[in-house]
Amino acid sequence: MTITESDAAATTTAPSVTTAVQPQGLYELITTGDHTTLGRLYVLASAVFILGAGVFGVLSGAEKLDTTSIDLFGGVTSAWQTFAAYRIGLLLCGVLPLFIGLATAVVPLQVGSPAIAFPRAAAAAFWVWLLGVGLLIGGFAADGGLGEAPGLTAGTHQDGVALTLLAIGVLVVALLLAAVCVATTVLTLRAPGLTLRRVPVFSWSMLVASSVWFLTLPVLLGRILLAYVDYTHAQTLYGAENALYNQIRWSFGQPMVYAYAIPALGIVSEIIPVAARARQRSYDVVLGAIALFGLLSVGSFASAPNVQDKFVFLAVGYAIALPVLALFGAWADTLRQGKPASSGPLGALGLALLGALVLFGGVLAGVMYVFVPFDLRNTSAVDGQMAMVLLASATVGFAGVVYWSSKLTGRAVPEGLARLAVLPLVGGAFLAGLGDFAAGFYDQPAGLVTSAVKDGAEIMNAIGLVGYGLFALGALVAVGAVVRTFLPSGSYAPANPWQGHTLEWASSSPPPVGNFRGPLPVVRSERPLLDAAENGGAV
Amino acid sequence: MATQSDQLLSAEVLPRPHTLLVGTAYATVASVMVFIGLLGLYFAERTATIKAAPPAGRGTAWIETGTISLVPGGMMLGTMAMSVVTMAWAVHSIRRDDRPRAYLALALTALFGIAVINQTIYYYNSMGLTISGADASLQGLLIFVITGAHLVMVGAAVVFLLLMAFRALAGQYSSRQADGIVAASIFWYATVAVYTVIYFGIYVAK
Repeated sequence: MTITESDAAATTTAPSVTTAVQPQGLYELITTGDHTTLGRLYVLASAVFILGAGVFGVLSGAEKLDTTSIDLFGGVTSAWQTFAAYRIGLLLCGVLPLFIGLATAVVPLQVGSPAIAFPRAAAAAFWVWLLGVGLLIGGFAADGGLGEAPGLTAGTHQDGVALTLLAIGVLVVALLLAAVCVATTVLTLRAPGLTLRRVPVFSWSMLVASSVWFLTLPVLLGRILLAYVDYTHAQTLYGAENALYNQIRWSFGQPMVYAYAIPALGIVSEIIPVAARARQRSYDVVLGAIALFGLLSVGSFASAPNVQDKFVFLAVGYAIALPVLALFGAWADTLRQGKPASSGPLGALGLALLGALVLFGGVLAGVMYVFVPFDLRNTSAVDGQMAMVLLASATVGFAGVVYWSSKLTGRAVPEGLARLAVLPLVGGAFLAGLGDFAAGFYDQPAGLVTSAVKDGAEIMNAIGLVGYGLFALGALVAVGAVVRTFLPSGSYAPANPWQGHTLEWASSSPPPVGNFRGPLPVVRSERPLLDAAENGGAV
Repeated sequence: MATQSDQLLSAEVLPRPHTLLVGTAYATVASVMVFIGLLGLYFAERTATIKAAPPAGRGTAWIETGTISLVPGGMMLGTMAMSVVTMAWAVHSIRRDDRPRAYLALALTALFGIAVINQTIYYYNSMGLTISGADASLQGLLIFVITGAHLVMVGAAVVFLLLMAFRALAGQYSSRQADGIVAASIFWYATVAVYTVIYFGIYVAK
């Protein structure tokens, strides 16, 4: 039985979406609504910003080598701004746009759509995001950032701080707009027969992630708005210069930090079956586990004060490990059934699988964080957990770039470069998180450290610094690999270099205008191309 | 080079006519979440202030009597309620291809929206609250941010409504495809719902 047979009942009209053209010059590049081009731009820019955030992480980590004084920077304000730049940059300029970029490029292909929903809105989202990045850099460059560290005396950074707050708001709005386009594509522009239960896991994870972001990031936007208005007027409470970080602190802690990692689970679930050359086992369990992970990561309630003692906070901290365990079970079963070939996406598999392990380490760190006897509240353990989750997410994001590079630019990332990046990225993400997390057991406070801590914490900080250094090195390799695929040299990759299972691999590399040549078939399973291959190509 | 898609048997793409509707629903959820976050904070601060003992806290009254007059707020609620009717009328009309009445209803709804913006500005001038200077207060900050954000939401709803109205004028929507008008109505109803919470939760409850 074929899975792509013609279905008379499906014979209807095409959806009314705009199919953009490939840009040929600067003007066309700026005005294009082509999802592949926008995805490329997101991926390139966010990869560079992840590298930049890694460098800020190194600087911030180096400052913690001696906790008794500020050595590396001119003063505590500069050290604080570096710390803030690392966090905000990694999240809003790096990890989230990397996932959004991959989704913008890949999701329409995966669901068999000729274009992304609202292509002009998608284009506007990218350029507004880039504007936000520019404003953010300007805010920090103007001695602004997030003012002063909590507990310190307010300084005089009026314009720079206001600009930084404005930039964060702009970044959040742009990312939400981009997420609307992606989620709407998954919900409304699927190919005939591609029900939600058959949607490729990455598209599903982006649908879940976008839905969670719609429920959480607007709360962050509201707090930023409140802080901005207060900061530019009376600075009574929320806008006091040394209280600004407290308005957004919750968005870097659990459970909110998991919301940013949802697409990573989808990417791993895409790569493993293809690398293993096997059908994904327990497909429904995978979809359900990602949905449950998303549900548990709705962390906007954590913006309320004193929430860490509440039952729901503790329960979510423990429960979030369950869907991750279920996913690892399904992945392990798939790998056990399969036979990975040397011609498969082994570099991407290494990045994805080991990155997922570090992500699981971050989840376990979260479980330990809420375990009351460990008493890790307000210690650097929360920083370590955030680093582990976000850096692991970035690593898996790079795995996605390697895996789908032929669809992004037409040229595959050299397998050697991908494999070269595995150890520094994965090891760096793990050590960076481990250092800060373990230092929490020595009562090292979260954020900036300006006073002596217990013996042993500085050794953990040194481990963290090595981790940040390794991660920055890995990010450099990854950026090099991404840039290389953008260079107009060498031939295009074949349409389906990894023998992929889902619809994006039915398109050429790079995809043509409209993504697919001719009308799409009716999809009968979640693995249409694998089914076709198993039927001897007779479809 | 032939790809696998070239070899697959073809089938026409199913219609997915609700793209604008779904996108608007997501945008509406995101907009409402901004207010849920801010109103949650407002009510938490209000409760904390009311519960705090006067010497240590900021007093037992969150907003002193006479600071906010209910009349302009009530007028705005009435305007909003009328806009719900006209918005529903617009959707009803376009679904019956009664275009003249649909245009009239859309224009009236937009007019009510502009009236709410005008009323809000008047309200700001009559309130005894401020967010700058020596008289700045937490109450003023929260109220101005929440109502200011709602002002922006009303403005966005009016722009969206007018955009859809112009599309309807161009003949884009009909009884077969009324998604644009329905999408505008979803966002509009959310705007009204948010204001209703603001009215009772902030202006009435004080």
